[in-house]
Amino acid sequence: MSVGTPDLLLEETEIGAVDLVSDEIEARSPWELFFRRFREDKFALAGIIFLTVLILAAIFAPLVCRLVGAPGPDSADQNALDLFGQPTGPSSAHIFGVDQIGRDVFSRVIYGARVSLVVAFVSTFLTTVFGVFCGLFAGYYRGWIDTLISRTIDAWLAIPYLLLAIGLASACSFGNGCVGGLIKPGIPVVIAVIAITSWTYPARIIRGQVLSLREKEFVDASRSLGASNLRIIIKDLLPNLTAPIIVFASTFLPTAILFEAALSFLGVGVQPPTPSWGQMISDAAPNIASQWWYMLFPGLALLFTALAFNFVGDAMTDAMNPRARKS
Amino acid sequence: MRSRSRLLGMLLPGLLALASLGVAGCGSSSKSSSSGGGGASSSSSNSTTGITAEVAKFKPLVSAPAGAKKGGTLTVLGNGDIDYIDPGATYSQWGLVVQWAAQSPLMGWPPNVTTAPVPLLAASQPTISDGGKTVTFKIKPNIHYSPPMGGGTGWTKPVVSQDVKYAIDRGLMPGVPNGYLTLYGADLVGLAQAEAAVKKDPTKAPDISGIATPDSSTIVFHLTKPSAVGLIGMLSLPLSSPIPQGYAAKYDAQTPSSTYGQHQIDVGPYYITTYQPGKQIVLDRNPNYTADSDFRPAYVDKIVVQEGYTDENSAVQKILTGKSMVPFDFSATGQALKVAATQYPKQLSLLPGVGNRYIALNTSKPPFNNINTRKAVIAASNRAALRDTRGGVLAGAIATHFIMPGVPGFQQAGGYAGPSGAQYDFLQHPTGDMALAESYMKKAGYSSGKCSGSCTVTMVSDNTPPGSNTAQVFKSQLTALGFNVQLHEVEHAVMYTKFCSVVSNAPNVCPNVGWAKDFNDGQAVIDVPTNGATITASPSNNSNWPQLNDPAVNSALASARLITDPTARAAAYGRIDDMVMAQAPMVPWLWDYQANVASSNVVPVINQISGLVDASFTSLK
Amino acid sequence: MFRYIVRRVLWGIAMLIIVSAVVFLIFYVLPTADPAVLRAGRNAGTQQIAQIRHSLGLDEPIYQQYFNYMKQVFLHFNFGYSYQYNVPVRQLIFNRLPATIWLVTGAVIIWLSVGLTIGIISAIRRRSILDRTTMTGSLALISAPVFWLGLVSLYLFADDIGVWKIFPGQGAFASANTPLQKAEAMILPWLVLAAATSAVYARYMRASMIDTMSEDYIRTARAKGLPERTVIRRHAVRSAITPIVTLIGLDVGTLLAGNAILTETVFNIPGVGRLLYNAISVSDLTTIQGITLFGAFFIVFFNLVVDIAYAYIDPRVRYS
Repeated sequence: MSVGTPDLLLEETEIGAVDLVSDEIEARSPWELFFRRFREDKFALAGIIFLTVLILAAIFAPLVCRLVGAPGPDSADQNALDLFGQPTGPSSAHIFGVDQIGRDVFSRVIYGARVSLVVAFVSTFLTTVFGVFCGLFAGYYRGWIDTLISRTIDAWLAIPYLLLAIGLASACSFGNGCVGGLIKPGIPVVIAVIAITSWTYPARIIRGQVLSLREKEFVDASRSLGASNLRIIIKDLLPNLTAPIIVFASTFLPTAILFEAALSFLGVGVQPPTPSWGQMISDAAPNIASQWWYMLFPGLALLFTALAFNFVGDAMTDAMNPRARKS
Repeated sequence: MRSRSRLLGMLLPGLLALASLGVAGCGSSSKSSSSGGGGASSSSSNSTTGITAEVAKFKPLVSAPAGAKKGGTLTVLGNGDIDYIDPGATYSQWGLVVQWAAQSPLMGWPPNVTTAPVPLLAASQPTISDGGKTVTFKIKPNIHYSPPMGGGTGWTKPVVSQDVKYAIDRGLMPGVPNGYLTLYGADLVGLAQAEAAVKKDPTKAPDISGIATPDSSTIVFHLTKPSAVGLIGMLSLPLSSPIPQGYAAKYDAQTPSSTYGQHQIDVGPYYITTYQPGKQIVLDRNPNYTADSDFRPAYVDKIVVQEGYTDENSAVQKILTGKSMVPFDFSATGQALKVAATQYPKQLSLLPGVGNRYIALNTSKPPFNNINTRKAVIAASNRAALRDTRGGVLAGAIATHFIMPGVPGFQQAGGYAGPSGAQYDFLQHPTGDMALAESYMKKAGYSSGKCSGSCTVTMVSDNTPPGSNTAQVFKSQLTALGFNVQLHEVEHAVMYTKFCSVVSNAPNVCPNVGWAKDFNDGQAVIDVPTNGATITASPSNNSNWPQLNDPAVNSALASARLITDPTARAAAYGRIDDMVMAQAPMVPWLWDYQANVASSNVVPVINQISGLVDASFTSLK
Repeated sequence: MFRYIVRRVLWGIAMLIIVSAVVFLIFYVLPTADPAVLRAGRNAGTQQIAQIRHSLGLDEPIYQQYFNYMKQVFLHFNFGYSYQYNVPVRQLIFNRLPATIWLVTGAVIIWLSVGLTIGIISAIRRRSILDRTTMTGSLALISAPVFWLGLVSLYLFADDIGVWKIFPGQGAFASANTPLQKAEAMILPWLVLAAATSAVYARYMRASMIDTMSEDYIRTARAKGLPERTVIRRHAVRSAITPIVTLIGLDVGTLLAGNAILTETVFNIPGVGRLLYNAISVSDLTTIQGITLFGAFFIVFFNLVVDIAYAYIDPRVRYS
């Protein structure tokens, strides 16, 4: 941690005279530095604000729609379709226009946020948990466990995730779904596909981290004190893995959102008529030349949401990594 | 509504309580699309009685004009591929675009003929004797085979009646998956024995003893029952185009499928020179075809089917703005139809009566095993809204019963207005009548007029528009009646082969089904999709999607197909149509207009049976 | 080095076997459709379907089918017949591979040249306006869904439907004949596919360069009086690029294995990705297996190639 750099001096003066004249110079805890760095990144701030607004809008979607005067996401307005059954664009009745069967695009964008956010958070959580678990065990125990997990990770890339997605979507489509009702049709299937496909990324990262951590002295110390493997993993390794775990999770969120959008675009994600941004773009694709609105607005929603997550994730990465310089 | 609350349950715990507060408001899905009923389609031209003036503007050409020029290459743009290149197996309308140019079945349909098929390979109309149980054809002499696709020596001998017999016999082999021989030829003498023989040895074509060839220019069909009309109709399909056993047997012996299709020899004015699956099919003039040997003038020199145009809008645009192009397997719907009708009206034609579309309600399990529930659903459905998903008024006429316009039995069943009488009241409101629907729901036992209790309904639909749109619109109409619909979208072929056509796995609703006629006869339209016998004959490939199994209908169908007098036959099938509709097994919503587009330099002659461009009659300017 | 290559090749073969076994399993546990019924066509009777199932070998136990299949692949390079088209799978794949190769090659060239250059320049001129703009801009590109970018680019630039009719639009590649026409038809797909990836590479390169540039040996090189350009080119970039090289192998391998499906779908390119999607939708197991095996082969191959390249670029790396 290089103290005397221009950055830090600047930070000192912004805070005010108090710190400068103080006799004691306190070492800031990593968390303090983290929040400080985070706070200064304007883009990350903008991202946080945007995401907060989005989450609130998603939760209070019915309210938002009512405020704007838009009908719900499922009601098809025949009057908004022309003689050929084709949709009309933005108007006073429908500020974002209607989609191909007359449903209000604004409502669907707002309700679509629910799908994107739920899928993003839950799949990130599952992916991280499972990946960390595997990475931990592979890196710590080494030997045949490591070989098994590492080779599985290598081979996992070659398995077509589409096969899994379409197969799962197909098998779990009705009634109680599959795996004893655990994987129900729609969102749970998408979450399952994302998690199953992506667990290898955090696993690889964590494994690498654990491999270097386990050689450190504090682990040796614990071991010589007679701590069990489990205890070492939980008490010594995990706390030191918080940074990479958080970094991974925050950078995976936008990936998860785009992954769900891609699956829905291909028709194997969330089942219609549940609104999903990727699905809406897929609906719009055949007619973009003449009906641009229901391709544009969901796409912008995806872009801004992923961007916001990316700004936040970027700031997290920079904040957690003392050597990095933010741009 | 319930599907939405399941979604809410997935939200993180802290948000759950807050979320469930807001879910009830906001113009929710219970305000269904059946409000604002006519809406955009309420213009006066939305009459369901007869062809409107709007549509008459786009009348298709059904015969080649005088002075049609010979020469040029016709490019046919295709979305997908031909179902089978083997003429013994082809069974799709677009497949006929190729096979009716390359093959010569015994009978044929010139584009301007709709009453009965006309001799093609046959020298003249067949002789029907023995009370309608024996059908005798004489075939034309001096018909020769083309060079084979893929090179090689081919077959130099002329066509003999044994070749016609072999072509039909091989339709029983599993390697030649023909879908209509056992249907229309069900009464052929010796059919059962032939099926048993091919089961024992699937590499050899069996001998159907009921098809006899007393000499090389005569072929005789012996039937156990007088179902000659259906048989003769079937002989206008590609199966009866001759194939010499000496040439084809070695290809037919291949497993799992015969490879004859890739090495075929053709007798039509054109022959297939190249087949690249999923990419293209090329037909050149058949050098061994004698001009004027049948009614096909064959103007263009070459036909090239180019596949892979999955985007209908750009394919239609390409055809409209390009040269020498016509479509293969798609119609102009929605936006494409709009562009064609408004900007290129001279290049669009609308042909009524090629097929129908309906929403099948599974009568074999709850809740649609109750006839009153079904009547309620039909009464509530806004069929104009359904039609909007395919392009509005120009997409077709709103259907009021099964048999489509132009097919004998259509007028007898009620024509465009549909069956009259109070017992058919549920069919008489094309934009939906909620009050009537609710009264039927009450009769079904739902005292509130909407569904209560176990109201989950499964629906499997297409995953591409317009089918997916139709399904979603219908879903909201069902939801208005209180049903909780689980919609699952899948690939078109999978929709049939895994769900809707599999009796044990069929969902409650199959919204994207319909029927195209094989030829202009009631049997070719209403028998298979409403006959209880279909369910038992092929439970994993069942085209009686509502699983209607009414004994009266079944026996009426069994006797109707034995009628030979055209007037009586039409009356019988019309009556069957009304009987079927009285059971309310489906929501009939469209009698399509086949919207064919063509480039400006094409003179497209439309065949009224296939509904598509007839390559043997089309010419270029 | 030789022993290393042999070990990697052996592992590659093992991986092919494992991956195909997994695909087989997924297919049987989660079938999307019944290929025998699909093949049988309309109105097929139960007997016909049973016969077709028998001739496709689908009524044998799974392990038997698997064993037969693997034997054919490894001994005869025969990938069987597609259930759907009744055409040899090998032929199907080879028909589609050129389109995907066109797409991937062009995109790789663009994203490497653009991404790496921007990454290097951004690292050198750290915190300049250029750096900030490119890094923020690259985040924007990474955040945009590739299929949406494709649609927007078609809307703006396609010569049939676009606002400014510049480049060939959707479906142009399929109807292109000469290499020039093909390249033209590929411009928009290349740009779209390369967009997000070049952004990722730019960021990685920048980070890697920054790390490298703070190393001691760079300071030494500068102290020796070497011109900055040489320092960057010969020392910094060479070292910084090593982690990128691994990425390239992975990206190219997976793209050729069918990952380009989104771009192929939007632009209607008849490539391997689209073929895989279609095959999965109709349960054409032989085609699915064929593409998966080819894809796994590409992944293994390119990974091996870049690892060997790694050893040449970075003299510190030694393989035992």
